[in-house]
Amino acid sequence: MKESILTVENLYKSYGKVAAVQGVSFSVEKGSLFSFLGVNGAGKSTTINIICSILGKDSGKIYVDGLDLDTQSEKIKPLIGVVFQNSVLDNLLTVKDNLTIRASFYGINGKAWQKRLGELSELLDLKEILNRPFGRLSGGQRRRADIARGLINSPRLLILDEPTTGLDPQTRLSVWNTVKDLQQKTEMTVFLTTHYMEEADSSDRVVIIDGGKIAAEDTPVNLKNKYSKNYLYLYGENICERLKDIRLPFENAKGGARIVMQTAEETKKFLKEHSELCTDFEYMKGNMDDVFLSVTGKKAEGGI
Amino acid sequence: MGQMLFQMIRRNLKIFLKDKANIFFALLSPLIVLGLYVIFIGRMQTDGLLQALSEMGISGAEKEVRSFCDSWMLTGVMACACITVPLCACGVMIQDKMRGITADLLASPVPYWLPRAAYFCAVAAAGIVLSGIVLCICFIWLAFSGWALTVGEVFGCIGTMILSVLSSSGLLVLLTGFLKTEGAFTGVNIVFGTVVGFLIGAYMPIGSFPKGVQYVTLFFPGTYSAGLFRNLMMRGTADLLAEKTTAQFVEGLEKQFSMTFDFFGYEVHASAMAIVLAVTALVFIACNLVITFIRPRKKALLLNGK
Repeated sequence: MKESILTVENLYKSYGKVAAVQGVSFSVEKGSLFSFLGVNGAGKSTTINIICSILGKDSGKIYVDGLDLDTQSEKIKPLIGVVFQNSVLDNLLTVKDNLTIRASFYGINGKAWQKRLGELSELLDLKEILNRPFGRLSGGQRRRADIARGLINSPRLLILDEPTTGLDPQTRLSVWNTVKDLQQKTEMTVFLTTHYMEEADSSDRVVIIDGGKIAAEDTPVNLKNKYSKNYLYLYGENICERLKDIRLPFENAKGGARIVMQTAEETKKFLKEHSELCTDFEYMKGNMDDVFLSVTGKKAEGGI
Repeated sequence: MGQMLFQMIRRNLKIFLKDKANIFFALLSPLIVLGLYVIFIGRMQTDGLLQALSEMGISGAEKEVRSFCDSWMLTGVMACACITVPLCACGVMIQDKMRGITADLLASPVPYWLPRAAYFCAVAAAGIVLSGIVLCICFIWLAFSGWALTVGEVFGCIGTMILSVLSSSGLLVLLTGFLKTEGAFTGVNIVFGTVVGFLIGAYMPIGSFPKGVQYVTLFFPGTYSAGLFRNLMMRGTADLLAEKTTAQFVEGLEKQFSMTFDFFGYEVHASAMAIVLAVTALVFIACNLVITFIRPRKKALLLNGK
């Protein structure tokens, strides 16, 4: 197993009588794309705000790259880049001005900043928008500038708090592709909070948080194997009647029938044994929506 | 660190100055003082003084009386601008809280004292720049209505403007730091913008207020700023008026127009006003410093869950 960049142990946080985070523990592997999945109010933003030193915690321990947040928060801050859910750049200033001001927070000035700005501009395709006021950019362009702000200090851990929420489907897809490309190109650890299942599905590891507690944690494939069903779709003339004749349990599906399969092995066996029924078929593994529904009992939100 | 502070001050100042509405509202109170004077207060004051002089059998001092009243109005404009410009510039602090920029600063390796220091410097810089422009306009007005200022008084006005802005910036940054919503800030802005003209005697001389109200105004730093401006900008016109009238008449006017204050029986002169203003500036800046040192300790305790 790879080394952890972030370790959260038994984290608790309450707002008055409301327990927002209740004993959350998890770790994030270096260089991975990690998703923190949950509905609004599940405790995702509270957890990342604590990791970023924005909020205090009630109890628990947090380590970033081996450094203790309780005693070394000032050393941790330069290691983290954050992309907030709502943009924190200034509408009246140009993208370049916005980024230059934030670069000074990390002591990046002069030639070093010009070099870094060039790199960011190339990485996120910012050239055309650098001298435009941030407030006049489109949703996707704004998000790219926000991500550039998070990357100014070449962080070891990039935290993105619901980076695609509120964007139109096309822009969401484009922003999501940018995040994935970035993670692949830079091999940086990306910690993502989201309530979109498709985004979680593309991650290396997923933690599902519900009501401030961790409901499930694993790779997307393992989660799907554990918590979702696989389906074999059969199409053809009178397929439902033919299945009824051999007394096989099935559900009606659009233009055919759907049979629940526990494993791929079971499916292979079925295809061999009933090859006459399987002239036109489709095998589909369960998706993250099924996993989320099964783990939390709540329907997943959104979808690309 | 220096670069970080410079960039933050530049950012705060740019955000304030790029929004034209900010500049308009910052200068609204001084504009109202000017407008009211042009519409009726100027004529009221001038006619009142000329009437008093004619009762004393003195005539031919119309130009001097008008210059004296003009310079009184301009001191009100200046004293107002030195408060309302920094007040509007404090709006950036509230916007930052509302938009989550404060959270971004907390997540960045920025020293805890730096944002407040940058806000103070930007608010003071905005105050000095815009009030400086207003002061230039006042000098132009005085040049047309009858210039009576010495070089020393001109520099005195510039010094008073800087001192007044530093004092009001210190107080307003301190107060705005406690506000959490835009609604609360708008409320403070409206109350301050409305009351400030009366408190510093811009709409009518403080001498016309009841004694109790006059004493209340003495606890407001802007009163000393206005008093100091009066001593500098009205001294020359008062002397010119004394030449056409009597020294006794002008002495009475100086008290009526609050060129000196009665502080519970003690007479406060220009030098004392300058000291009070400088002390308030230092006290407010010190309070801001104290808060920046208390807050990180509170934050550290929070981070450790205590």
